Amino acid sequence: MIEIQHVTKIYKLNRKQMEEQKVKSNMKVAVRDVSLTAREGEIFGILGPNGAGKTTLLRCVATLLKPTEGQITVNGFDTIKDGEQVRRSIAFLTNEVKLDSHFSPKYLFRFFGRLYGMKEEEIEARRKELFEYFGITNFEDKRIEELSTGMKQKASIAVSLVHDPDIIIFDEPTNGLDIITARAVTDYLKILKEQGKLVVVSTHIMPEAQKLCDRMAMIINGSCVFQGTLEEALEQNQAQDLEDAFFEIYRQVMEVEA
Amino acid sequence: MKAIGIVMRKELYRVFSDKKMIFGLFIMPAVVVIGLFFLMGILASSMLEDIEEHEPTILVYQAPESFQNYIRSFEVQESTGGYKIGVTIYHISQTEEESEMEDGKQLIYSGDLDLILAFPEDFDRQIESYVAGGAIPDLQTFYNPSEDYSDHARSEVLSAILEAYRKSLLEERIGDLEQLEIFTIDQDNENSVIQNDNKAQGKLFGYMIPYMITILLFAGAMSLGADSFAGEKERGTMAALLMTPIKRSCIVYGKLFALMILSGLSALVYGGAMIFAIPLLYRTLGAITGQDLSFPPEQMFMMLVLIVTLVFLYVALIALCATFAKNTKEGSTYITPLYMIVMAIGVISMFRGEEVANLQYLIPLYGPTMALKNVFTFDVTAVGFVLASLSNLATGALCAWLTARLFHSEKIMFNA
Repeated sequence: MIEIQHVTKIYKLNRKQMEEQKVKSNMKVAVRDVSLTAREGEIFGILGPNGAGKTTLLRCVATLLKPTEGQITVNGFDTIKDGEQVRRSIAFLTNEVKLDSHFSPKYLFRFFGRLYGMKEEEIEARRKELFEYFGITNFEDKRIEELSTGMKQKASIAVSLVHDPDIIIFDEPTNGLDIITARAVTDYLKILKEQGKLVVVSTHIMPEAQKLCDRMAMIINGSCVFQGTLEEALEQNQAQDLEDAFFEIYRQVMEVEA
Repeated sequence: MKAIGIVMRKELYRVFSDKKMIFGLFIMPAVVVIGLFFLMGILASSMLEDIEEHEPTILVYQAPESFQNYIRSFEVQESTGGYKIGVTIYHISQTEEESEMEDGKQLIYSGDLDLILAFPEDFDRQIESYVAGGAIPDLQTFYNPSEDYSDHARSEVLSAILEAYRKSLLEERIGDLEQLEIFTIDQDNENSVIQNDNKAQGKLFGYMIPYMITILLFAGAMSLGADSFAGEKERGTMAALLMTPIKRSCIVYGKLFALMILSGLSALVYGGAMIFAIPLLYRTLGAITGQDLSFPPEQMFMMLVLIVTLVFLYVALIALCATFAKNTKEGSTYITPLYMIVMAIGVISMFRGEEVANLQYLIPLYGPTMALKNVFTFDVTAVGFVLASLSNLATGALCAWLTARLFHSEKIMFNA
């Protein structure tokens, strides 16, 4: 279970960053007082446009960033005090976390398996299972740099799942993938959910979220503006689909901010 | 501890599974060093041979009768008309005209004439009429030291012709030259030199080797360190490592130990190539060093400990600098000033005396470099050696600790 309580993340900008982002203040609020809970056996969607703060929030959950305010617990472990236990129980996949292009998927799978303290036979069994599911076996000995975008993403997903974690956090997992690979990924997320795991997915592709997510939170300009099920989102906004519901919420937020 | 080994093996595998890196790190340096020294040897020896084979042209102004007779006593080459004195053939022309001598000076300036010997007008009379305490004639030479032929011709003429000519005149005046010599030095003493041969050899190597070792160790770790720390950040692969449940310090130490091994190997290749290449250079030049560096076991042990701890310090310093950088290029920029400092300390160690106070061995970088030099010259004390090693370990550990602290900073690791 992931519990996010009143989390705010403020970045301190240096002069160069202030010039790049054309802002006068050296403080940028990326996430503002967000609270939400995601439980085992569900796919939880973090939805929002690019730059809304989704990735920052997920990086805080993954212990890569420290919240400026508030607290995050993962399976009861605090992300700041018990970072190692948190990392042991999660898989985190994002565009910014990449596999070293010099190595093969097979080598990296073993390497990360060992870092998670797994035995060789456990790693081997897990590798066979995941590589077969994602169709990696044929190119398992090729260097990452020789692989296509889809192959790389499949390898990244498999490597991130080496330790069979309870919680899977995927940041835009189908981004840049062809339709077949994207379906393989979303199907696997459903399998993980069926196994009783918690899957957190961030995306700005609303049709994908509509099909995939049991519950969701919408983040706009760093704030959580909606949290609930698909049905609640449609009902509250009198919308036909999630995309319409999202735009309705977005319109309301913009009106308030204006 | 296990995690350190896993990270270290991965870092080593990264290098050893890359043919380009193996070539760049271990093969190319050896080929370049040996090739360069070999080329230097060939060029230098051909230059020396050329100078030796050159037949100097000499203009003698107002040559006195005694000098003309002296020169005539040598064999004249029929083909060239030159005088064969020793193994060299000299083309000697004479003039009494001052204007010709002035023209000769111009020829020396342009490199077309090697030497002018200008005798005073009444040289022979001055020699004959000499009374004790009176003035002695002055023979003047004109040459061009920036021309190799001219420079060599002057020194050859001074030693092979003029010195013998002076002795012949002196013999005429005094009769028995031994009257002047009074006593000889070490004429019948073959065992004049009493020294510790190892120390003598060490002194020779002590100038160069510590400097070379420190530079090579650092150079070997430089590019690898920038890539291992800053490069991984740039490629986004560091984040994958940071997402694992191992301690950040394990990542740092795993990378540091791998770097130590790689830079040690790289330095070994360089060093080995130089040990092979330097005698090659001497041999090509026709001189043999005749010295083999031999060390007692305790000296070898001290050298090994100092080198290993120094490598640890270097890689820790490099890691610290590279961790601040966002990419490999920036990492290299941050490391360069450090490289300059290491080079400067290496140069200082070449010229500083062996007298180093024990506490000075504690000064980071400087103390251990001096200790390394003094190991070669057998001048390091046991206390000095221990302090220098401790200095390396303490400073290295401090840098490694700071690097591990930086690994916890999201500003440093993710520019957040």
